[in-house]
Amino acid sequence: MKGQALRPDRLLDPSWRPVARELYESVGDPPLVCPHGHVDPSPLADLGATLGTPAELFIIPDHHVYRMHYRQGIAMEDLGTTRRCADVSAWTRARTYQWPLTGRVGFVPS
Amino acid sequence: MNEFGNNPNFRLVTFALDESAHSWGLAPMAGYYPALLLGAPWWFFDSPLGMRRYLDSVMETAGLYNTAGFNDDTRAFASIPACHDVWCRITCDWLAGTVVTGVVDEENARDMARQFAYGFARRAYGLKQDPVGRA
Repeated sequence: MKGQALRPDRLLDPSWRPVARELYESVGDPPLVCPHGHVDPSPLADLGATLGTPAELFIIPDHHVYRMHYRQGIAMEDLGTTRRCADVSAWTRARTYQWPLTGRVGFVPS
Repeated sequence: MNEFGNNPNFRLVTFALDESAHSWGLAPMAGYYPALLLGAPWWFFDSPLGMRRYLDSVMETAGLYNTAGFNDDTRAFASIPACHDVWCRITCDWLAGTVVTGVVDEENARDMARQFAYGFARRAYGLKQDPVGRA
């Protein structure tokens, strides 16, 4: 499946896009203020930590991603969300469902 | 709130699982009690449409400066900056709508955009030091 590039004006309404873009650019690239979160803090504190496998980075910690995979019949165990160890073949299989799974704007119940 | 809602040493940030509770209940209270700041409706808040609904349903009544900014609430490390970027885009888009309809002028909108992006959260949680910038 071909990757989809991020559009620079994503989420900005065409009716007032120049104004929205000017505001967005005026904010710049500010530091992130994160007073609350659920990310495991130990890798943040460990200078030797790595990002892990793709599954550990993108699937296991993201409940929105793995619930939609589960909905398509991929077992939690195969995704590694219960035993904290991902099955690479399940991840490869999951990619074939990329848009139906994670295109979260408007769920289509089936 | 009757007892502490006007106490300058007290601050309450409210969160609710029911997003409708914000518009009918919490938004007017945040627009009255100096101690109260309106937080995010979890679950609905970490999606573009949820953010738009939040802005449309509470800002007019609560007053934007009586809200507590953004919480990413994410479980996934890689999505932290993406969540903040989506919030920044949605708030700037929402503010642009108020500019083109003549409700807010450009200068005020720019300040509101910065506050949404990080100012409100720093204030709500008492983060006095400048955050560490990106390299």
